[in-house]
Amino acid sequence: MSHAATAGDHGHDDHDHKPPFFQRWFMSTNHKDIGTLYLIFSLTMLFVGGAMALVIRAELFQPGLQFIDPHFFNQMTTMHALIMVFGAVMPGFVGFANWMVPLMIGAPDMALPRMNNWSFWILPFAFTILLSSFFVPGGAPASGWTLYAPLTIQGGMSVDMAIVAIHMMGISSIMGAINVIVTVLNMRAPGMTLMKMPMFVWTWLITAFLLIAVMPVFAGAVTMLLTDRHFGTAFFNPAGGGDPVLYQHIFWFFGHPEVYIMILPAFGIISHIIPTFARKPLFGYSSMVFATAAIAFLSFIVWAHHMFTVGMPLQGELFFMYATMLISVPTGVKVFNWVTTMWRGSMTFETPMLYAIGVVFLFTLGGLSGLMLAITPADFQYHDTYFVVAHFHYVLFSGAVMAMMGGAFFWLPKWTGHMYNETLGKIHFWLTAIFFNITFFPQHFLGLAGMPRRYADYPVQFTEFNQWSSFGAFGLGISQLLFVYIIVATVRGGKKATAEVWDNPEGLEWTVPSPAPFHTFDEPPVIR
Amino acid sequence: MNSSLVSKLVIITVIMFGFGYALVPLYEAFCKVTGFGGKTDIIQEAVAGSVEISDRDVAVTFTSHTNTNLPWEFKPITRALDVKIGEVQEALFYVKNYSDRPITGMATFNVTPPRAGFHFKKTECFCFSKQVLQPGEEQEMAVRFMLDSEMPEDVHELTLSYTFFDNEKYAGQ
Repeated sequence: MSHAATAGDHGHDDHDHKPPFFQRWFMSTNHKDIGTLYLIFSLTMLFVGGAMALVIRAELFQPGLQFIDPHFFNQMTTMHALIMVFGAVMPGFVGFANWMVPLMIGAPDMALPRMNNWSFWILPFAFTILLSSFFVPGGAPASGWTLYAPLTIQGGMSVDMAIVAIHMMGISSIMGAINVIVTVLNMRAPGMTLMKMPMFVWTWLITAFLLIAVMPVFAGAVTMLLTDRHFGTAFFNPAGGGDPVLYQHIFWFFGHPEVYIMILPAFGIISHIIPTFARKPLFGYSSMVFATAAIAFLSFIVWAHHMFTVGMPLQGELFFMYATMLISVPTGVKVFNWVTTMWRGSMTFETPMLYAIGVVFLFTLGGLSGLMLAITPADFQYHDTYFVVAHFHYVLFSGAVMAMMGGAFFWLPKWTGHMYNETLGKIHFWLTAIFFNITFFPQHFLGLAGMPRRYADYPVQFTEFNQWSSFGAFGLGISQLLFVYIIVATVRGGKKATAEVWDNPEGLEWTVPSPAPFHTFDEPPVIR
Repeated sequence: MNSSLVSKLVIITVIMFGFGYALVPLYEAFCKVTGFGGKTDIIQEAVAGSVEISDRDVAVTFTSHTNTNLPWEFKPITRALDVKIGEVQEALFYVKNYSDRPITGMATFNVTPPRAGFHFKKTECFCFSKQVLQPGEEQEMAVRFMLDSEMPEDVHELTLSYTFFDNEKYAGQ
């Protein structure tokens, strides 16, 4: 006890004093431990949502109904999306932010450590509520993750549970975002001006602003749903004078910035990995910052491209088409900057670099199908088909999720103090990349041929591509067990990592020992 | 320093929550100004009567539906009209309550193509208010309207569609 008290009093000389298990993991205010909790939560949800994806793919292996009934199929698609978006991708990036932002800006911790604890611990409860909706009469929400009214005005109590869960995770991500903004704006080491901040910090700062701008709008939308369901309002119910299309507008006003919330931090991670393994500084740093800000700004004025087919005036369709296409300009700036960073670099291809290159390549493919979807007249054919499914999995899986995997391999030595097994890491990359493409590339063809989303059955002519897709999905799912194995093995042991880990990497996180001590930067570092 | 920044960010959050709600009247206003979503406009009978009548014809078709929860029959008596620009016309609809209880219904409407909706002016319509039908009661309901001179040149035919909903849930309002 007295030892703990002294360590608390002048804890600077005892960097690695850690509290006992329960206090450490359940009452933590340490950014590294909370980051770890977020990452474990995210990985768990990846497997929960992934299992649902495999139920979907198993059912779609053959035409006709094999394993599950269509209503349960719809629950699977809905819950898969909700869990992946709000449970896997968003908390995953918050985990990266918790771990890396203070280390990158030379801060001892996040600015609001108690709130940090709170924003994490809301999540397990939110997802317990969401997942337990499987056991209420009528089962889980089956309306698609967009929860479109008026369908959700009619659903059973699972919709209410989803609404409560969304409120909770919204509060969690808003608090996380506020924490990031305050940390970045107030706690940078002396001398680190905004334009000297690492790209990951920049992308997260902008993401955090997007979060506090749109999560409340989504909270408002589901609150309107809730009052429409139970308290006699008629925001979306035409019987009382409401308008269902209004829900779509409000939802996508949130929904489009949301997709950038899920990709901008991935851009940040890539912008660290590529310079490290190309052994060149990031090309066009300031253009990267401005491109990120431009993408964030544009994300607010393109929402209706998700709803070209609701019957908009021609002028509206043209505006949203051109505004959407405009996004490819700053995105293109980023892609070209990454490619130029690699140009004539002394490149090596360790696992994180393989992931980074994979992301640049595959995300760009997803961007290309996005441009096709942005063309209004063409969208009338692609809308709500598997082409859309292929598109957003290319940007979300091979963009966001693979960037997180690359980032995990990149920083795992810093987190654990051990090098991971490089051979296994490379095998994991190739398995993931190949099975991913087997899963989702055929879905482009299915969509172009007219197979609609969110159906448990399909006409026989779509069988072959669906079988490829299901085969790939099971391969992709099983390959992720290797990811868990590599992480567990690295946590438990392996070659000792140096402080720098990689070959002369840039950034303050590489100046602290590996594993990063429990407390870092008690004295602010000097920025050259 | 932290707390003032936190309070600013919380204020932004609260404002954005309000903005979500503000989108409701904003959307309403947007639809009214642009005719988006096939919304129509209302004018006074006297104003409508004083408009000059041109000899341009537009074929107007009337369709009707009832929501599945509403045990009413609802059909257009006037199925189609050739309407001159500027001329005030009337169309009739037939409604009957087949249930054994009085029911309050409310009709929603829209005009296709949507860009024509803004130039479709109603002077009188059963859709302006709630309608109560006693058990077995039948009624004829009228809409009086005109097409204004701004009607886009390439609109030669348009459809006015009504859907009757059960309004019991909202009857108290």
